[in-house]
Amino acid sequence: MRFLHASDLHIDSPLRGLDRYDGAPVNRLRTATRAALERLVDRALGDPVDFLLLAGDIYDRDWQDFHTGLFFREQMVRLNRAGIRVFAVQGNHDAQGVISRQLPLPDNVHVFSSRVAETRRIDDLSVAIHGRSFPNRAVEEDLVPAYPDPVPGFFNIGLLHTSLNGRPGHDTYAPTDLATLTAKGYDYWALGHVHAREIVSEQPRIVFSGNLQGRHANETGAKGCERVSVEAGRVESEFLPMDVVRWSHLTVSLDGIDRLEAVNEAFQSALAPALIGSADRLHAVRVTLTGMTGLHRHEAGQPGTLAATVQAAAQDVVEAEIWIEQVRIDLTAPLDRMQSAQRQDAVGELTRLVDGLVGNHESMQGWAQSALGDVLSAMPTEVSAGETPRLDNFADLRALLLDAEATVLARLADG
Amino acid sequence: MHVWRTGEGFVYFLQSMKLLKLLLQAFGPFTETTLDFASGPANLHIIYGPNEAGKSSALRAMTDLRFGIPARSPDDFIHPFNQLRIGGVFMDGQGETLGFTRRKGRGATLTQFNMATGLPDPSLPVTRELELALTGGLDRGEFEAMFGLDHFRLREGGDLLLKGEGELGLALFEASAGTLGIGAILAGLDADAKKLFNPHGAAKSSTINEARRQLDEQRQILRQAQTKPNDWQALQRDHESAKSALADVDGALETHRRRENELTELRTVEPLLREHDRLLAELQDYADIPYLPENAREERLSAEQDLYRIRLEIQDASHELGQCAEKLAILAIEPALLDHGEAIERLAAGVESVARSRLEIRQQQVAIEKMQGDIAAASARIGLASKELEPVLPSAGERVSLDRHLQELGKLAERLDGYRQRAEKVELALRQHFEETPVLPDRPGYAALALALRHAQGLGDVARKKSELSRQLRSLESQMAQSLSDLGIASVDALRGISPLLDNEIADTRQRLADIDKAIHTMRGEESLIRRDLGAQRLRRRQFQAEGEVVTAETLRLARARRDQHWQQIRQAYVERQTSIAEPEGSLADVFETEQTEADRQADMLRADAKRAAGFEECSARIEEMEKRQPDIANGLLSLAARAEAIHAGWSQRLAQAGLPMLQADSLREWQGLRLDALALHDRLSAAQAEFDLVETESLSVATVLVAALKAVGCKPAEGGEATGLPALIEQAAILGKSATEAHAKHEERIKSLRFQQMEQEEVGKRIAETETGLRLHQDGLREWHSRLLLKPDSPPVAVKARLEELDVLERQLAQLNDALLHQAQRQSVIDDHESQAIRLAGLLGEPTPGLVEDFSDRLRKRLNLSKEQDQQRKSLLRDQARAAEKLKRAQAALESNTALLAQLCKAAGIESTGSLPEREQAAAQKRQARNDLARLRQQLAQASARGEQSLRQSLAGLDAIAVNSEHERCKAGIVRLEQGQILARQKEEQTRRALEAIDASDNAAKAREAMESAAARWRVALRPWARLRLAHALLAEALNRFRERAQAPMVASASAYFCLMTDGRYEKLVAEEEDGKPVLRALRADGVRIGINAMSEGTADQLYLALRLAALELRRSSHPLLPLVLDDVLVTSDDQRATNILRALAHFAEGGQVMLLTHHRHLIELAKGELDGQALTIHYL
Repeated sequence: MRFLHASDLHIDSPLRGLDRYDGAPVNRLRTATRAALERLVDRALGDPVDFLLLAGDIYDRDWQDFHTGLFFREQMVRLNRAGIRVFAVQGNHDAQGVISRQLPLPDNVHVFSSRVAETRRIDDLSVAIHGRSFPNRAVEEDLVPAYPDPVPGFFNIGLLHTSLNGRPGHDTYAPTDLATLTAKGYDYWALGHVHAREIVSEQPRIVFSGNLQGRHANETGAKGCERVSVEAGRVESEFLPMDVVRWSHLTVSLDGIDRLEAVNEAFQSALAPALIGSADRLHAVRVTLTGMTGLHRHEAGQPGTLAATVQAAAQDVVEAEIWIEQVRIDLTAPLDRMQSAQRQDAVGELTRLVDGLVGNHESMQGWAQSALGDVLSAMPTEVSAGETPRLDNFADLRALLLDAEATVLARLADG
Repeated sequence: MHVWRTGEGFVYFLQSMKLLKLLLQAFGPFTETTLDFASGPANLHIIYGPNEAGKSSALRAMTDLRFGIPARSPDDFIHPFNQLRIGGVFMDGQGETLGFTRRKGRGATLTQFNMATGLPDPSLPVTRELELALTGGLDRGEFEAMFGLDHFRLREGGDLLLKGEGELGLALFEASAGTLGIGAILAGLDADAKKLFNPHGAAKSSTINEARRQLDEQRQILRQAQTKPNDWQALQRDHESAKSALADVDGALETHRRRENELTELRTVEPLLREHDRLLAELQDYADIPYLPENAREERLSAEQDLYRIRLEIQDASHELGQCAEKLAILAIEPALLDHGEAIERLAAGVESVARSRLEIRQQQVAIEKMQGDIAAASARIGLASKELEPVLPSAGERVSLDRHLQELGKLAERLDGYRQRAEKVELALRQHFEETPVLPDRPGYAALALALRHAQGLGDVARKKSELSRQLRSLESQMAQSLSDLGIASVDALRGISPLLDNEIADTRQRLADIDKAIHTMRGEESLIRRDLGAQRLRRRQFQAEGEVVTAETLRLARARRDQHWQQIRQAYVERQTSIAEPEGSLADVFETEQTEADRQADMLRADAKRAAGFEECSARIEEMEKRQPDIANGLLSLAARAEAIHAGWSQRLAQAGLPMLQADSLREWQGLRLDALALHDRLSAAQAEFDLVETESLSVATVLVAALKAVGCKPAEGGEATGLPALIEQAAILGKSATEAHAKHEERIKSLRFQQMEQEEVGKRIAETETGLRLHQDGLREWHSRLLLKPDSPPVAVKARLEELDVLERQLAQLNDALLHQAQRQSVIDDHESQAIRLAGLLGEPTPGLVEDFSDRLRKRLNLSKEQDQQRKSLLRDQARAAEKLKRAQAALESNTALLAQLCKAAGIESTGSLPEREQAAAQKRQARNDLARLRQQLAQASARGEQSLRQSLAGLDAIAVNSEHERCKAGIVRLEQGQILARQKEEQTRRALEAIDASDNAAKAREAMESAAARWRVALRPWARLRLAHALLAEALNRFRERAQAPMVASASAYFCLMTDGRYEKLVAEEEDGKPVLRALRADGVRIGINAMSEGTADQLYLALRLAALELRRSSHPLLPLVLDDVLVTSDDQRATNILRALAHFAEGGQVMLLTHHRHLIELAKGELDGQALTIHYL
């Protein structure tokens, strides 16, 4: 008996933070969450399994386009034609969701009730699947105690959307713990909600499969599903990557590098290990440049130079297609500001001006506000939802001001 | 020593580090070379080296020693890069000497060496403090910008000062930062920021603007592409409902149609069943009549008609046979003629040919005789008998060769004539050339004249220029006089003597007065308002009072207080028994009661008319408030008037001090502007006068030279003298020059033409000789033919050609004679052959031998034709006879057959004679018709209904045709109605189905959402660099202002001193003034005139830039230790005086720190030595 366990499909939720700069491999990226689900179904059909488990969050809460539902239905129909059954619970994102409510699903799909935990038996396989959907978006109680007892002589699977006993970056829903799950006596717990894959326990096997496709820079690494084989009571589980775009963070040290040409080499060397075994995918990479380098002044003089250099270097990578999500500059300047502030010349004047401004957040904020207007505060929600510089954040504003000072110094030096 | 604390908490003591020795151990072209800067007391060092001596390497060494040797050093061309070494001996602030060595490489490349041993000493570490002392806390770029200056940078600095037109902030900041083009940097920051975001436009080139556009566009697409689940559900519901409605209509329609079919069936079969019954009865009536074949009547009629026709045919055939026998008996035919018919035809055909031959023979004979006569005559003319023609005639090959000789001879003779004519023409032209020998003008004299003319023309239209300048001068003088008159000043000197007030001082006074005016105006406004409002409020209060007693909270409070007071008195009097209470008029109780009543009355009134009470209260309060405010305003106005008076007094005093007319601030600003205009006008006047003088001098000088040149070529100069006649002189010289040039040009042309004609003469001579040779060759070839062609030996080619033509004609005539004889013989043979054929035919036919053959032939042919015609008639009659016999035979057989057929028909009808047949046939046909109708009817019934007859009769039971029709009509109407409903229902179903099907699994909305995310990402990415650039712009602008405010005074003062030194006192000092609201730098000349930077020459602007740089470094000295100022060939374009002045200024600057001046101009050393003493200067040679 074989089955696939996947969760958190979030179909049609967009990949965030990918600026389509010149040279970005745009054509490779088309509704990646759909492509990941198609891959999952292809896999289920190509290497046939007996059933598929979906542990919640098939849709994204804020997304209300019915085309998405019809797409999901299409994929389920494909499985139906091959006689593959699907068992699903609804999580916090799709609980009572309008798409879930309206969409007629084919006969092979069973969505567990949200009122009470129930059991579906597959007698020909001696498998019992227990599950319960979220009745509403916020479920604060532990659902596990109300799950039915295991069916004797059957392979018992619990399907549950939960934050367990809390996971960083994830809201707390249907909290429970390992002891409660273990005490239930099931053979396999297929969990959903947490987007990072995690094997919570080997005996019984309790697994967060993670989401099928990472959607932003904080969902790094391979994403996919679990393939579980049960032969003579022995459970074997394997992770299958399904993602189309793989997110990663890359730190590149520019210590001792003073030429832009050398950045390419440093980037490629740092990137190479991340590509091993996954060259067929598109990689969305967040690059952080560190170290003490004269290029700091270069970047200061022409902000964006290093980002463009890294983007160009990404195009030179032949093994795989790379999309640079963001280039963060964390370089150390050789300039000693304290010393600079002592100078009685024009540069000293500038440094003292900056020192004076950063000494008082309110006056700094007022000054910056007059220079920048309301550009940083009047943004559409799509933009402000991500990381943007904020004038009401002292550290942010201070960093901006020091960057601006570096820009002035660099341009003065170039003049 | 300077101390500061870093962010990490370390404290550094930054001290000065004076370079005493530069040790060029292995660097550039140097090996173990030392530059000793401590050999003398001076701080100004001139390092001299000719080109290639290593000056640039020495300069780099001074920087590399402090900041490290760069990875790509150009100084490793002698010493390998890993062995490059520079050393330096420095003296710190305590007078202690320290030695450092710098190697090329990574990491720590600086080491300290022991001064005693000169060897590296690990016990002397290079601390951060020491490194800072060496670099002065700067990086290489900053050091080079601030302490390095070469000629090009100096020039750029000067240029920028000129372009910036003295904007003070920019000049000071640029000089201090050692940078160039702050304006450009500000503009660059602004432009770069706008590439990211342009607040005033939808520019696609700005990243954020474009991202915003994309975001909006994709949002729109998303909105259109998205389908809400509820929308989908509504569509699905619509479709289900439409489907159900359609099914209902379909069902009803089906029922109606079924019934309609049934009724149609019944309506069809009802008359059929009736007819069926009638036919059965009819068949019963014909039971005794036999069935005859359907065509029995036709057969009988046909047989009867055939019998009649056959009998007529028998009669016709017998008659025709008789006629044929009669015609055959009278025919007469000659069989012998028919047998030889073809021979007779041939003989008759040849008759015409024989006649034509006889005529031709006679005509030919005449022609032959004429030809023979012509040939004999021609042969006699040439001198040969006709039989001798063969050996005389040339063969075909010979004829070709002969023709070629004749052709070439003609062409060559013609060509030779042409050449000889050309030779004569050339000869004639050459003779003319040699006869004409022109006289040429003197070349050097005219060259000098041309040079003088060019100079004169270079001056342009001198007369016009002078006239214009003169007019301009008069105009400017008039304007100047007007300006001075407007200003009320006697002279320009007096005008210069006035020192104007600064604009900011005027603006300040004006502002102060304006502020006071504004305050007075405000107060008066307020006063007027109060006055008006007070009147209004008082009127309002009176209105309240006029409406009756006004009870307010205050009056109520007072009434209650009075009541309470009396209550207190009653308590004291009656409860506490105090006797001291004075009894008021009336009893206490009455008074209290009155007060109580009053208080209650007021409370009631207040409750009843609280609004009026409130209005009255408000009115009173406002009146009180305004009455209080009025004296304040009066005092304020007095105080302001006093302040204004004081300012006016101060202003008058200031104007008197400055020697300015007593004018108001605005008028004074205008007056000062007029003053500046007047000064500028005066400058323009001076410049115009100088230009006029220059033109005058130059024109005189040029005219003198031109007169001398004219005389030198022997020409008398034009009237008018040197001064006033320049245009006439120019014209005269131009005409002379032009004619001399033309004469020389013509001469050159003639020589060229002569040379060409001589060459042509030689060429023509050569061609004549070649042609004559060819001519001779062909004449020899022709000579051999003279005897053969029976010509005289020297006959010309024309005679040969004529003889050949005569021979050709003779040959053609002989050939024609032969052809005529042959033709005559052929015609005779035709006549002979015809006669022999006629004789043979007469023999065969047994006819006598004919006399005239042509007559015999004609007769025979006529007889033959008659026999042929009669033979044709006989054959035709025989064919007609056979056909008639056959026809007779066929008619007799048909007669028998028809008779038998009629007998058979009678038998089938059961009658004896044919006379009764028609009646019987009629009855049989009617019976057959009835039977057939019955069968057809049954078939129609079967077609009309699948049901059996019995079932149909049952369905029709009780129904007549009218009832069936009526129900059928009703049913049809119902169907029509239902069909219309079905169309609508189907349309609705299709419409709703399509709407539902239109929503597929497409990802357009998701893609638009993704595109929005992408645009948002672009926006986000651009925000930080944009903010950074904007803040950088704001920081730089702010720093510029602050630096100007702080450094203006000391820097301008210091730069003033240097600039005065550099210009040798021509400029006394620099001053900061305000122009158009901006501070600008001006230089005060020794004569008191203030010069703006834009009016300075490039050299002076360079000096000013250097002065500012020195001033900036001097300012920096106050906070930072000394680093040497390194100047690389900055004096390269300065003349000796300017260079001397700058050296003097540098010596002054060097009193506070080291100055290294590198140069490859040796004369600078002499200048420096002459100007500065040994104490102030040290010279080093590379």
